[in-house]
Amino acid sequence: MKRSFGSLRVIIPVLLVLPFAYRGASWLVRATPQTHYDVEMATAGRDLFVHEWTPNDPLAGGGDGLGPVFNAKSCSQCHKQGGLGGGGPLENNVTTFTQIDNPVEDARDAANRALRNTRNQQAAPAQTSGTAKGSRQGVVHKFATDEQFAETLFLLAPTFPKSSPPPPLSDLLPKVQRDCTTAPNIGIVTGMDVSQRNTPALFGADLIDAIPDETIIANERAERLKWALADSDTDDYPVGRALRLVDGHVGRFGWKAQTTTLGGFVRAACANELGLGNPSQPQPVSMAKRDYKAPGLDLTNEQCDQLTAYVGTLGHPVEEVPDSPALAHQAAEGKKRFDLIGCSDCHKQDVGPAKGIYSDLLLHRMGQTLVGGGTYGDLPPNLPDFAEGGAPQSSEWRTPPLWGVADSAPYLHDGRAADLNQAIELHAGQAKSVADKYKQLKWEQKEELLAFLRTLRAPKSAERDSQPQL
Amino acid sequence: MAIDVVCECGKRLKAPDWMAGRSTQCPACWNSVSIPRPRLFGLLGPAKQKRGESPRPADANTPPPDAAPAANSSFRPSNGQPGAPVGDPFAGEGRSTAFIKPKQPPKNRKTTFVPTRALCNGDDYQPNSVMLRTQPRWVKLISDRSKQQWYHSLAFPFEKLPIFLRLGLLQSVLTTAALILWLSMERDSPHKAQFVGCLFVCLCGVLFVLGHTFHYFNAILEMACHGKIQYEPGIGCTAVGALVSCGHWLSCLLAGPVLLFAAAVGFWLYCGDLTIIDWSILVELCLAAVGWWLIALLLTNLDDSVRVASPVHVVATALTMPWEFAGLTVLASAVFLGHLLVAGYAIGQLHVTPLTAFPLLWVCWSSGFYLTAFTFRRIGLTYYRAQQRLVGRKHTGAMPVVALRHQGDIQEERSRESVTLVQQHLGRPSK
Repeated sequence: MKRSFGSLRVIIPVLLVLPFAYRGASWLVRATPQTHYDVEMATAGRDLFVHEWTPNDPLAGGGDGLGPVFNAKSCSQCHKQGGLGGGGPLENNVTTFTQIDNPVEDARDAANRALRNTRNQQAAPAQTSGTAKGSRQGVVHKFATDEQFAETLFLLAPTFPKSSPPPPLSDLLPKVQRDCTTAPNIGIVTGMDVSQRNTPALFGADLIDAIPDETIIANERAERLKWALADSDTDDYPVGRALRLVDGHVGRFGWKAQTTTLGGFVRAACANELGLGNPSQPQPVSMAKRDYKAPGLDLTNEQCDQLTAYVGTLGHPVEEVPDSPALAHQAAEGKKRFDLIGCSDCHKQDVGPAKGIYSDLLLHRMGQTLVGGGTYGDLPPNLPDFAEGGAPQSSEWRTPPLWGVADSAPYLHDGRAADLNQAIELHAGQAKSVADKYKQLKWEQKEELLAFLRTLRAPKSAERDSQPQL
Repeated sequence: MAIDVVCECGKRLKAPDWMAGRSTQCPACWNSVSIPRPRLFGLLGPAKQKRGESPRPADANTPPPDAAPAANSSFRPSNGQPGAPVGDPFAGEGRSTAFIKPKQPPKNRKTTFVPTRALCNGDDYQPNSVMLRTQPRWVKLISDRSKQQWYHSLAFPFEKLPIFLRLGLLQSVLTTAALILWLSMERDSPHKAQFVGCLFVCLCGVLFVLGHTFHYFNAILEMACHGKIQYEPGIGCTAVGALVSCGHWLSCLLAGPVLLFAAAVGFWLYCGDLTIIDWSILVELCLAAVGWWLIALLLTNLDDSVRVASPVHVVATALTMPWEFAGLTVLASAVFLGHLLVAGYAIGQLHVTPLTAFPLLWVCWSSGFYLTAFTFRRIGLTYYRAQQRLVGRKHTGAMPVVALRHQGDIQEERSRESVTLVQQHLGRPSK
């Protein structure tokens, strides 16, 4: 073949360079900040954040206001530890359920399942109710605006008492973790999982929102390389996986990393916790009265953006080095210990622009003692569909960021750990080996590690506010 | 490193390391000559001669240098120099009368001899020694051995398949052991030093085995670059040779391709979920890295200097190569990348299904060796033909080779320089 093809000498190099040019251009575009928060928007959002909603609230626009089912009357009622936007105590836990092989389904459930099966965003035509088996998952709301909307576990399965409220956490723990003085297990039926979710802190959410998807995926690949290409479905090595949704983005908000953006996370919380329907997420329908339909949406897009702007300006947790040299040295030694025993395998210090986050934002298998199914949005049909790898398993949890951990007790997904020491010891699954190493540490070494964790505080600029009571 | 052997007739022979343990024929008397194996990878020198074994290493027991070559040898000395060094096939006729009639070579022997490439250029030709290589038996089946097709290059390393399988098994075991040690190692373990030591030993084992194969690939490349593709070198060398070959390949890698490989790994880490564009970038980077590495190996094999592995030389050489070389580079990249992906998958599956993953890893190693041998042979031949075209020679695939058949026929070299050198040593005037 002659080497004097003039046109080929131009075409071939261009074709070879084209992919590099395309990828470089896409990276340059991505490097530009995608979001910035307006001060006025954030101020208006703050008002919405602390606003105590009521049924037919005047701020609700065309909707029914608070409810019909809800877990709190305002955002600040739960997000208050360490300041506005922080975590929540045990009494504000949210009860979730996952029911497998439910013999009774309604048209909406069938549509949800069809949506999940076909993996596209357009809802499948609703089918008539029948006896086909399926699965359901959602939230058992604590309160209702009217008795007719009140949700109980009896609605999930007739084995529960008819007027059973959501059970306390102690009744949902595995037997090995339950305090023997509490009431016995309420006897959850086979195929049903009832668990709780503790309110997470919202500090630094803007930084998490700014992390590119590629950075989280890079964490996933780096962990696989480090552990000899082990897969994430093993309990032997701390190899996590990035949860990919069908829109191609990677989840990073929520206990199961089921939400990709801060705005989506805020809107889902408004709908599911306060019963405030919005353009992205309609309000949940009560399990007791499924035929109730809201007259309209409670929040507008602008109101949601204002809330998002406020959450995005909440401030970033800090690592406060103690003034005392002895305590500072102890914390420094604890930081080394944190890395030595393997905590940093999952709790990575920095991820992209989020410095000091101490989380890889990946899903990790945490063993059968820490299972918890259920997620937002079973009713109405707004359950996010998951790509590659499927939906998060019941034992999989996103590595929670440790920044601000000193001010966000209790710990773990349902707050079962009252303090940091208990939280570390309850790690299982992929983290079991690390928990075992922690248990074998000397008392002084444990104190050093805990001293380091206690330096991770909520931002000092966090606003302290008195909380309304129900 | 070569192995010195003295035939019964007194002729001193020098065999390459890879012929250790094999048999061949003396060019002087056609007697069977066995090449002894070096002890402890050559560190302790050649093995001691066993009783009744005809070959003797060049040691103190070497017979007095007064044996004459065979009377009917084609290398009958004719320069009339009495007292010429024994073993010199071109020594004078007035030699000692210690004459041993050579045995007739068996009819079924297919071994032939090829003088070293030094014979072609005469720079360092040593008349006392002849480098030995073997020609596969099936080569005679090729109607015109001067014109070989590409698939013939697949057949040459086929006879090495059992060796590839053994080496692949060894590599798989070492790789798996290294992985187990890596995963078992804990950062704060009191036995961390022992783990690191064992891991280091495993990695050295992997490099050592690779060094043997690199030595073999170098031999293929060198022979093919000189047009000698009808011959197949053996696998095997001393420990020092293996380390030298390993260092040779690593130095060529570090001379530039490592940057492209690092760029490919970094891109794969941070590019997110791979799209077609991303795969194109990875393939191009791999292609460029493998092509650079190949050219660097080719040039350093010919020049024995690492300087020629610089980007300037590599680019200059690449521009002189025909389009076929680009195709071979794509092939080599495909082999490399494909085996890398399969090996990665196999390593990942070792955690889950080791019984199926280990054989897959074994096959991956073995097939990698085999296909690399094929690719190197083709690359060397492509380079040779490109060079021939550059200097204006009209060789239609003929190789400037001197081959001596066991029937005693001489097949003269086809290149002008080689014939001249042979005639000089025979004492005949150059034409």
